[in-house]
Amino acid sequence: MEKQNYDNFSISVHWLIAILTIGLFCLGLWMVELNYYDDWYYLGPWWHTGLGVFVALLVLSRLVWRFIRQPLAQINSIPCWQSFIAKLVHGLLELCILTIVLTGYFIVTAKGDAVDVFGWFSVPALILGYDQYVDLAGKIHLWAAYLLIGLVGVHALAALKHHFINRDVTLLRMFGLNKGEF
Amino acid sequence: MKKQLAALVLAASTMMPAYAADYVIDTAKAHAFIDFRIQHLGFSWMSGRFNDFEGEFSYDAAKPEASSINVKIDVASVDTNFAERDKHLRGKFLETDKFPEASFKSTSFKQMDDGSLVVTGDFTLHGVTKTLEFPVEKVGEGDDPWGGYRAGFMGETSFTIADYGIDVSRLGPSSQVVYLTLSIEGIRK
Repeated sequence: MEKQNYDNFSISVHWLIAILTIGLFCLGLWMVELNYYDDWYYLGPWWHTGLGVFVALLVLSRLVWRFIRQPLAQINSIPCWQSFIAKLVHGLLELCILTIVLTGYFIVTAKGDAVDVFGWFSVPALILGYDQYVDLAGKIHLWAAYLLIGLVGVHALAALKHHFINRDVTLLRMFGLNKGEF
Repeated sequence: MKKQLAALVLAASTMMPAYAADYVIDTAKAHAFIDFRIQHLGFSWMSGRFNDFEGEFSYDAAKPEASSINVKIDVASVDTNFAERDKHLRGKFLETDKFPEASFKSTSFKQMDDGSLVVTGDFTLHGVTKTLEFPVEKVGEGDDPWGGYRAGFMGETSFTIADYGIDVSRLGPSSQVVYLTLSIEGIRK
């Protein structure tokens, strides 16, 4: 029997990534405008890089988990082309996050400094000798973030449309609340 | 006819001023450095350098006031040993997208009583050109071990960063002036 709801792990990871991603976007835009004498001048990037690594781990675990978990039942009322677009947006969301993660990692580590994750552990620098591309990486980091947030908007609007207009269980099962048939 | 020509050339050469020798700054083997330092919060010095630059100078020990120097700096090569800070400097302060090049072009050399030199020239940074004085001392000159001839100089000057349209008011009162050190060795052409 195919599952009616997403499993708890998928649900937790999805919402955690959602909250962290939007939070990191705001934090990122805010922290680069801080003054040198602001309390958060170093604390902002400290949280930003630490949480960024955390999001990277969550996305990777999501990718792995997708192969392991029990497949979810298709919602029959959703036409093929919509499923395709949904999958495309999901793929782009993950691609954006991974792009942001990699460029962020490169910006920090370009000259050999490791990424410190809350003092718990650090991710060593691996891509060295290309520090002339740090500015480019910064631009990609920013624009991929804008694209990501745009896609998040599309993704969220689609979910709300399914819930309020189509009245299907798309959104409910992302909260584990799908009780009925569909 | 030949004799006359030879005499003419000889006469002309004696009339000509003694041209200073031309040197190319040895950036290829990195015997030249453009360093800077600026105070951090008034507690310590932060130093950095520009990794990519090129230049030439002409110098004659007999006629030091006839010297000249011309240096071009790739500002984006700023290096303070910290990738995030370098990116920050390029983006927020030096604006290397808009102003990729800095330069110093001498307009005069003056010899002081103690034998040291003061170079005056046009310094361009962040799209702003201003006159900058550079006290310079010759470190040494002579034949190198590989068949060439070299001369080397060292000089330090300072300037107020805001004069070049760079807003460093956020960095605090101790960090308004930057010290620039030029340490160069030239190979005679």
